[in-house]
Amino acid sequence: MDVESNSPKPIQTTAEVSSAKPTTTTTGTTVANLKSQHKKAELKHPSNRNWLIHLHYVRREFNTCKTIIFEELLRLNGQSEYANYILALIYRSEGKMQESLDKLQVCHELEPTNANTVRQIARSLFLLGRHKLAIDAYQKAQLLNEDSDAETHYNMGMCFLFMMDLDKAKEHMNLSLQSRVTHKAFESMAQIAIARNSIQEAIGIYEKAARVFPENAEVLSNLGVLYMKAGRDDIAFSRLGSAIAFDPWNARATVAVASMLQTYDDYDQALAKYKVVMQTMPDSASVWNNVGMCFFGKRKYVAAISCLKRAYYLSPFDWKILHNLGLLHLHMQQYASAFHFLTASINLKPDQSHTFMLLAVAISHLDDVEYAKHAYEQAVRLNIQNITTDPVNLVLNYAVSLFNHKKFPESHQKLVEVYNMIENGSGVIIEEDSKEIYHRVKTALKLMEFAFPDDNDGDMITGGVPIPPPASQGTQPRKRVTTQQSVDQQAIGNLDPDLV
Amino acid sequence: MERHEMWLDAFSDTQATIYTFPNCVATADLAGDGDYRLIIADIGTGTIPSKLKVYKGTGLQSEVTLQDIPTAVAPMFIDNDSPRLPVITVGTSEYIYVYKNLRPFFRAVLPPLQINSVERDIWGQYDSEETLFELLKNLRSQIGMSALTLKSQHLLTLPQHERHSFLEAHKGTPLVRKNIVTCLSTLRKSHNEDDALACLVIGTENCEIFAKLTLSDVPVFLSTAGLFDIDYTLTCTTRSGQLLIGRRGWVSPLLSLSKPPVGVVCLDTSIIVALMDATLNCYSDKGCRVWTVPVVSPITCLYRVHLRQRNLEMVAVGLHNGHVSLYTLSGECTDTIFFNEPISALYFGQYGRECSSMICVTQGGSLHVKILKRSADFTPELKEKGAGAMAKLQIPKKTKLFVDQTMRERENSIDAFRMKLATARTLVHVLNTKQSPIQESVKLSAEVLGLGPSFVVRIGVMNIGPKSGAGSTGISDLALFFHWNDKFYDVSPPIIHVPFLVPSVEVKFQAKVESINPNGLADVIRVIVLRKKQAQPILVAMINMPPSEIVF
Repeated sequence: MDVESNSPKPIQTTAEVSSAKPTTTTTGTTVANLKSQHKKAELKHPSNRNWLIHLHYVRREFNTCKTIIFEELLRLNGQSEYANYILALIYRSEGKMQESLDKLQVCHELEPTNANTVRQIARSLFLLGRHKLAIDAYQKAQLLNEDSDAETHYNMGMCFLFMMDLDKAKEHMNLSLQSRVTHKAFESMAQIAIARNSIQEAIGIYEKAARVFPENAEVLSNLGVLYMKAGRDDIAFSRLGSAIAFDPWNARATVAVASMLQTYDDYDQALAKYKVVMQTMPDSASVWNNVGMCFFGKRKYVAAISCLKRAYYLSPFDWKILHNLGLLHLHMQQYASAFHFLTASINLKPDQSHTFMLLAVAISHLDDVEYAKHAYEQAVRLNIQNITTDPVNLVLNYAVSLFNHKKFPESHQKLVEVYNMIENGSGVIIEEDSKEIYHRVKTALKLMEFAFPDDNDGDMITGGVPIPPPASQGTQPRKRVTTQQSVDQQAIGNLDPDLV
Repeated sequence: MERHEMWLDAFSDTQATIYTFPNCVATADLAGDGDYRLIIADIGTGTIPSKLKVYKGTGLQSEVTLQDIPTAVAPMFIDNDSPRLPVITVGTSEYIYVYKNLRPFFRAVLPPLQINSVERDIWGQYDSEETLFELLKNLRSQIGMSALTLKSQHLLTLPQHERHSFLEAHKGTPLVRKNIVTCLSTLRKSHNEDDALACLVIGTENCEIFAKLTLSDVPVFLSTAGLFDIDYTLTCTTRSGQLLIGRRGWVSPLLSLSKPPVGVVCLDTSIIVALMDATLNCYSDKGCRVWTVPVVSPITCLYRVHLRQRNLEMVAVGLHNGHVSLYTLSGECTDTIFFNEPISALYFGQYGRECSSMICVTQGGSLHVKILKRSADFTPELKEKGAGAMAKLQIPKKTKLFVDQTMRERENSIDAFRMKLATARTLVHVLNTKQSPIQESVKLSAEVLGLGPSFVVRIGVMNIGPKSGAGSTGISDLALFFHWNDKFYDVSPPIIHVPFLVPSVEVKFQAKVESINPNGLADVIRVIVLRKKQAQPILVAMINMPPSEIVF
């Protein structure tokens, strides 16, 4: 009897067997007979161990997997498509790109119609940096596989992006999005927009992405950061807030919110946020720097110095950290240390007028008026090219330093300059304490009978008592504000490499 | 919080040398006596043949040698006889072997696949081996290797000298394209009971599932729900990482996973998938991701844990570092069992008479059976949600020394700033006054004898000229000159003439020093070595005098 039923469905097999049940013992012998008959003729199926290879591969048991693959390749003279394919993937994960590519070529030869192999070849080429060839391969894969494939378009877009062909890249990303929406494609579109310096367009793309993926913390935090860069703090805050709501450990969003709070002088809240971030990234120099500046804002100088020193230890060539350390030491009246940190900062980034101004203040306290003057001149020069410091503060500081070193005529001259700036520049906003210092210096100079253009309003004169010369440190609170702004921007800019 | 051990060690065999996968482990009431046996299909390696092993209680009951490596085992009921005895079905390459009472019962072969007509023509009409080979090779480059028959595939892999003998040996063999089993599952036929009739659902290498479904990729994991006669759902994952849902007659992709899956558990409304990147993901039956949990080590296997008495569903995850963790359906880890080897296969179900047993096979081949305690508590541990906010910021501490230094710098910042300048100036001064013995040819040593008020200062002078070897010269015309504060001391003689100095010989001189300070205070006396008729001193030494005894 023939029990080897070629049933299309196992159900039918079952039924037949039920009827054949009485002859159980003979069935056993029949099976044995069949086996012996087949022994000489039976050809082993070339792919009967594919499932085993696959299971070992997905369980990341690469060594066992490779042993089986080599056995299979030996048995089949290297002509097993799946074994070669998995071997290629394992080689790729081990970083042997060229070997991987070679194996994939063998696969392609064996199964020329398999689109997946072609896609993997393209992927290997992409990883090897041969973007042009990769694009060709992807196009071939598309020919083999009729249905429009989001993944393939996305990968082609990435190739074009790496080749800096932004238009083509955008086109493919669009095609990818049309067949399937993924946040990765949105992200790349936004990257393209940022590469073209159009933040508004990038914001638009992320807004779209956020509508499709309203719960994706990554998209929301990127959107928030972009709004921050565009200066729309209110929207940025709400976007970042929702990003944190969906993923409380999202470092990027948390840092952005914290630095925003810091900008608005809410140091305690900012510190609380930084504490959360510290759990996930305890060795980010930018975060330590910002924490340091929070303590500075709270006037806890020792803690601030500790944090900044940690940041400096983690990233010794970051001019902003050095700048902040310099500023902090100025506050601590450690002028020699301040001098050292500021010089280091200037060596790393010589075009910052603000650092030069702080350096000038430090040198002026170190009793070297000639060099202080040089530093002030340099600061003024740089500030004309690229305004980063409030010019009123800069010149006022200059005047105060000259006054302190008893260079009264020169000080007077600078003060007149300040006066002209205040009078002429309608948009110049002067802070209260700067104004006060300005008046104090002016009064002191008036007593020495220097003339001012606005001499007629003599209400500031405080009798015959000579006013003690204003201490330069009084000018520093103003600097602090500007510094922190620069620090905040840096925090976000710096975090990108950490988070990617 | 102290957690009690939830599992009892029932049985473990570290010498079992089992090499298997989760698909190849099952339990069934083979004898119909309510004592469930453990069935393991051992894949075997090289010299060790594949075997079907059946464990009863704490020992191996029987072994059956298999013809080929097993892909999956599935115990099932195929008849309505009483007592109810299940058969074991084993899938190996193209056959399904059925064992009843642990004896081979019959085997079914998967239906052969259609043969390409061109290939049939080639084999029917070829005139020489060369042309046959070339024609097949061309065909392969058109339709691919897997679309050819076994005979052609083998021929193509052979080197030239073996082709002839191959063709001779297989002259009469028909052309066939075989199919290969990749996964098995059972589906109950019409009644939803434990011992109801069931049928097999088979996934094959040719991208098919034997309920007449054609897929786009090779199925890897298969699970079923429902009844064959009424309505059923198949959930299956493929090698490239697609998750498919199939019903009678149709199949559709539900979603694409980012990585190939390592294990899949299907529940009523959700699907839990373990991915290759060591994450556990839960998807709803609509294809939306519900949660993702990262685990500490690559996942090797996943199994559904169903506690009937408590109506509790969980998943057990076997990890590469030897942990087996239990997760609830909301993604919380409730318990972890530790083994010292990577986990290879997991099974949870009835074994013996105990209905909640965990069977675990490690990569080294040992077999462990654990029984769940009745008192086991699967309340998930409370997550410390506020951990981030509570944790203190670790600000580096500063020492008192740091503060002191700060104060010092504040007071002396100008000096500190000009430290370099000051250093340079001092150095110049020292050089100018010859206080340091740089490149000097004379060495001076001094000692003070006595307690005071009278002292003796003994001074040794030695010529250590630059060539203090054989050819060095002597020094003449030197004098020692004392310089002191006349309010403290009186020194005699104030000047000592030094005779000709031979190299490397120390000459000693004495001077008497009288302390004239009434309080016995000490001061410094300088000894200056002069060369006659030269204003610049050669060397200056300072002698710190001890305080003097006071004479009453």
